[in-house]
Amino acid sequence: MVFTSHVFIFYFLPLVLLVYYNLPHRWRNLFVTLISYIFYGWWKPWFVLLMFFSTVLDYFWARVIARKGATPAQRRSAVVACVVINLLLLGFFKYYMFSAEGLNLLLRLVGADTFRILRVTLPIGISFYTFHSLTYVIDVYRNEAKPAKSFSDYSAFVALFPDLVAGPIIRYHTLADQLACRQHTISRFSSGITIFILGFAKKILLANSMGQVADAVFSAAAPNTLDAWFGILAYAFQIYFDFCGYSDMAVGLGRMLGFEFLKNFDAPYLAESITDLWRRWHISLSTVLRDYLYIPLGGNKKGLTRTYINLAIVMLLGGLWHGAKWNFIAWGAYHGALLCYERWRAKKSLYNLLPRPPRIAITFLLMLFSWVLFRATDLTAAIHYFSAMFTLHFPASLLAAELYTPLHLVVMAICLLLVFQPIQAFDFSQRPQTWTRPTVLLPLFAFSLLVMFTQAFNPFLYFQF
Amino acid sequence: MTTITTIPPAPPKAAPRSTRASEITYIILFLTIIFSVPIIQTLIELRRHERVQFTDVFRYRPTDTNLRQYEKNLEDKSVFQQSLRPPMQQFYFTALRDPGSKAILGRPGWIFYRLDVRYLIEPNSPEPGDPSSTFLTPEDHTTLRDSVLAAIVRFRDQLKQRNIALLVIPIPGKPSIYPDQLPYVSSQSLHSPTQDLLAALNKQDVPTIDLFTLFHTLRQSQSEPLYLQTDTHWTPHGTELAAQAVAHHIRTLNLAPKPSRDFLTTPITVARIGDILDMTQVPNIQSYFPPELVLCTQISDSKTGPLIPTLADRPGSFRHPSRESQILVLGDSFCRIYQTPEPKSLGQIPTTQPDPNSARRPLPGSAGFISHLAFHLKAPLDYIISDGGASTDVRRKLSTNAQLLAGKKLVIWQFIERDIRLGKEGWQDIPLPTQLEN
Repeated sequence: MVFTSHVFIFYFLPLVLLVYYNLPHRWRNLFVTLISYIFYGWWKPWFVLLMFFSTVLDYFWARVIARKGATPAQRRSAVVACVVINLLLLGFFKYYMFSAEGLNLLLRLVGADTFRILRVTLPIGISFYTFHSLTYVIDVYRNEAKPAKSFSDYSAFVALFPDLVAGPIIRYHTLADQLACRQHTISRFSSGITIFILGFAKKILLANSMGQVADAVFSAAAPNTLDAWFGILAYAFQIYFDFCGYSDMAVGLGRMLGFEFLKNFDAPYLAESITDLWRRWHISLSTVLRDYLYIPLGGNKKGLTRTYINLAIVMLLGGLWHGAKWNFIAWGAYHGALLCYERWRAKKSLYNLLPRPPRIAITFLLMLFSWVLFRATDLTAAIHYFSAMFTLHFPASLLAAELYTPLHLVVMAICLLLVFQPIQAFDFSQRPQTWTRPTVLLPLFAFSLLVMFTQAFNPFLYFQF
Repeated sequence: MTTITTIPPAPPKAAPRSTRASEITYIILFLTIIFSVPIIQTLIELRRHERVQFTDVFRYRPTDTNLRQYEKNLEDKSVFQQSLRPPMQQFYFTALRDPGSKAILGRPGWIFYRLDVRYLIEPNSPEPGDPSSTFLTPEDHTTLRDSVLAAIVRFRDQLKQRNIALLVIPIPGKPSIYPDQLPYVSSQSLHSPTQDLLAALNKQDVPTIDLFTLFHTLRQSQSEPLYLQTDTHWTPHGTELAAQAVAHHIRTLNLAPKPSRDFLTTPITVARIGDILDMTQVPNIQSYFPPELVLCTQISDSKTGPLIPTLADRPGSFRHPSRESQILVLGDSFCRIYQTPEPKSLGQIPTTQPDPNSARRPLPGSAGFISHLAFHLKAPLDYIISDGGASTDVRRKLSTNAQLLAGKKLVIWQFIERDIRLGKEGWQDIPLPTQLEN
């Protein structure tokens, strides 16, 4: 189910709030689990079984690890088994076709017979709930979290519908206490509405419109230089407002149910270096990658060379986490290389002596190049796109008629204004409430709903990851 | 790596009393918005004695197909969506000149179908694999043009076994002929990817007619438009010139039937409201784009009157009753326009005198491509028309009614070029039955 759909806004959400607030506290986690399974199964009902299987398995692995009298060897075996099983599941659904196609290519090169490749449907959100589950078992293994008190608490954590299919990635220990006991206050609910409305408007009014531009340019056979730059700028705004909008809505829905999630974006396009960017973009993923991959690999404690290698590995795997495609790996390698370079310069960019505006502009430009790798269908298409950006070729194209419409230009201008200003929806929603908020935000919500009525189905970009 | 706190931020501090009122009002108003829509919708449905839509979720098995359909029904039948979408689209059009997802606004007076433009912009990409198949197959890498080529050549071979020739006529889309009527485009010439398909078909000895070159030449030499400004289709003038060119080509191929009929012509002026305006669903968009007055030439048989079908095989398909024809035309709405009654009438004949039969009268009828081709060949034609279904649907209809091929010497296959990539059913392999019924 998509947050920006008729069925979610007008049926699912009211029903959830109505029932949730009329249930005794002790039933609420179970109810959250139930509705989260309905929310998840709405896309393909059978995949709830996979999520349930993964949840049951990890719940019991954690019980094994936390069992009194468990030896260190038993604990280690359990955590290794858990990680292996989870990654095998994720690997099969996400990377099987990619690996099999690669293997077939090799077989063809050596003249051997190829094999038929099973078409595997990627269960939506599997990367997110697998990470949720894994962080729980690893946190229990590291004694950073106590095992869940009940299965309903744990299943509510894994399936929690606001962040289930596109994050932010929530770590168990940040939510454990809230699962046991959380406050439902008017202020929290009100701030939840605020951030939900802002996220909703970002997606409906900005991301979807910019998505039309990006889709048009990236699907064109021969965009000219201006079109290519306009297209990648539109994609940079689309992915930000789409993903940040989703995270905002997730935070908002969480607050309506009494949960408090972490901030996932912090004005990323105001970053002054790539190192700074990764402190601001998809913070929950970079935190997980740091704590569960970079630090276990040795972090920066094993010398400079190992630090660079660890950074490169983390970013490559971060790229691969987004999808089984060479362009995602190239995207990870690109960011890994930039981070290594800045690490070599003591976390300073090449351009750190420039004033702040050019630093921001150059970082944004570097990010734009990486978005080409991220958005292109494959590496060949990415190279083709880069050549369109840099060959300074300006023939009149039919594409211009689709791109430079008054609507797209107005939305692009609003996006530019919003991404380069520091106030974030997350922080704004936590400010004390004034009468301005209902006066401004409720009409914004109503307007966004009206626009939603005119739009076709527009799933969030991060659903595919 | 980064150093980010993993401790959740503190919950918002308890609000002072002065802000509590605004918070409560805010919450109540938000809840009113999201609750009022389903409640009012349900009340309306109960009052109309209709089934309450949202309860349908409990009526059908929760398969992904049923759930998608359920969601679509909720949206389509939502009173709020139905009543608020048109003014919103009107607002977007008036304030931002945005005609919606199906259209692109051209230069003053012109509007284009987005898919016509997209067809020219997008590459000849590999055909997407069938997502329902169990395995990925190497065929997934076949390009769309390859599969179109293969489908046409197969059809040519099937007809050849019956000693019937095939003539293929891809129709240029409006932006192929009038690219300069799109904003920011100044050039009148444009190379359509369909011209590459025509070259590939000619290499395979499939007879074709290149209307692209013809129309580009005519555009340079004539001022009368070949396409309607607010419609996806050609003008009567474009239709008549195409029919004339096709008739001439058939004669050069020595496939023209013996002249057997005398046809009469009657000029009729028609006021057409373009189909693209209808697609935008913007209310009152006609006030920005007045109806186009076009002069049609209606063709009538001197004995039987206009060549209007009296037999409709099934909804959406029309067949001329003339079984004695040696030529069968398969086509889409480019054959249907001005020829047969339209599924949704988008035009009217300007008249000062009320016509009691006007509601049933085709607009104008027997003035389309088929009638003009018959006029130039002086012989009747048989035809199967399927709006938007020239890539596969017409062949499917033919395969289920293969006696239509009895006595035929030539099949003319017309389709709009965008269907090469964006046809709703693709280019399926439809084998003809091996035995013809006589």
